[in-house]
Amino acid sequence: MADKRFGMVIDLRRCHGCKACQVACKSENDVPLGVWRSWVKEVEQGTYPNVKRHFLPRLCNHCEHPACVRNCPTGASYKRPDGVVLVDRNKCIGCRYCIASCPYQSRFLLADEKVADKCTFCAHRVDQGIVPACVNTCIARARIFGDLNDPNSEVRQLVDSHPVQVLKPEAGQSPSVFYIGADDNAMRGSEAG
Amino acid sequence: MNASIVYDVFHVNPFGWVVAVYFTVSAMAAGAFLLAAAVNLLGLKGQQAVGRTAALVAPLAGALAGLLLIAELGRPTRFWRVFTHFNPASPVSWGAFILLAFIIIAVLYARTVLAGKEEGSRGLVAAGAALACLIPVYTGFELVRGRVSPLWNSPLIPVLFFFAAGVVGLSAVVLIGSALTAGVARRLGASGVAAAGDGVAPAAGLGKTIAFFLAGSLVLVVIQLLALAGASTEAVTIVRKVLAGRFAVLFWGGYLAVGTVVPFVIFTGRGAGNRTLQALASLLAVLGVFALRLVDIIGGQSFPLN
Repeated sequence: MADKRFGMVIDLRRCHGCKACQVACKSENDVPLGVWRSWVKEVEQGTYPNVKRHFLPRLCNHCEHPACVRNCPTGASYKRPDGVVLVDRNKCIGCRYCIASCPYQSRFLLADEKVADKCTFCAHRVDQGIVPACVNTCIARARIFGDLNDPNSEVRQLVDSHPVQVLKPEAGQSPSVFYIGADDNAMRGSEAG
Repeated sequence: MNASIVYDVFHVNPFGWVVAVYFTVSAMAAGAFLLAAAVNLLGLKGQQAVGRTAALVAPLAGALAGLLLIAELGRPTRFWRVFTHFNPASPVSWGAFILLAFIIIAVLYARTVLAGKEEGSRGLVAAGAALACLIPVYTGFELVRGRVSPLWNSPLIPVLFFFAAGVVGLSAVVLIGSALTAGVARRLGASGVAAAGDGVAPAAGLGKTIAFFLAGSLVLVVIQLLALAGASTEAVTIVRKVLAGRFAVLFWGGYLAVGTVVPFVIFTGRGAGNRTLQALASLLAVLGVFALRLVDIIGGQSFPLN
């Protein structure tokens, strides 16, 4: 357990924006209306007839140096030895500082419980040896999940053999979610419209 | 090449206007206590009434800041958890302990002031002053260490918050002092209280000190905006929003014109001797700091991160 570091590679050459991952996450984790643990951002680029649409599946990056954990005053946000970043709902006071700290806007406040919530990498499934729901449901196999510390894992081999990208590397969080073939405009926090 | 987001989910900003009120009120507590401490420790003759008023404003504002902080939590009844776990990397963790210690000391000092025994409490005042200095610093660090936002991640923010504490703390003392009844003012040791409604006369130079803090804040704001204007695309976007976008009225009208220029002119001009004008200028200065905090907090979250 301690030697593992779970991570995900999202191969955007395969993603066609069906949003099945977004739906699977909602269904698997009972995510309330109006908030998302995982979603697919879409960016349109160019002028007709030369137009391209890019997809960017999003989720918590389960960073190696997570600002949310660093800033949590109660220890409710924590990182497991296997790299999965979680929120202990019993300890969370709902101060929202973790939400403000996350450079990826991956966190939100649950309307009912008034505590912070986010993608858990489906830790309840991973602990049983099953991949996260978004990975399981992806018909294009664009999402690959595994142990980044295992040189024989597919996720490690993809990271080592492809020019992978991470979101906001300048934020210094060292994300565990890597993208292959992501569009720069989709990666940037540019304004809509 | 043209690029536009055609689908993204909606993100609710974690911090709103209540946090701006909290930052303003906690700065008020800190600034007021520093004024009380200056009168006590420096032995400023003839300013005892102002110092005592400040000593009473500080715990009230500090307690209000604490209540705001608790009320703003999603789970207010769990606020005690911040005191059972200390995370040295978290400004909120530091802030909880600093604010609690400050409130306790400010209440103790207010009691000695009401008992007329403040002369022998220099150690307490010094400790309170140190904590009062830390309040604007930790609140500033809450932004600096928070979101990756050009408006927040500036080392100038804690310094700016310190100057803001000077503005709102001293202004609150002038404002509340002027509103005190003659009886209360006399009890606090105010001299020359002739009639009901005279209140505590602002100390000579207090208005000019507020003007100094107003000018200092403005210089820091200008430096920050100039620095951002030549930085990243995100920074330029935010500066445009502040100067010519949705925050322009709040910035130019609320902070600069009403909250800085008008009180500065009153405090440094002929209105400096007029108590009503001084009270008005103090009120405007407090509102100006609040307007700037709104711009900082809401403006700092006003763009999608990615």
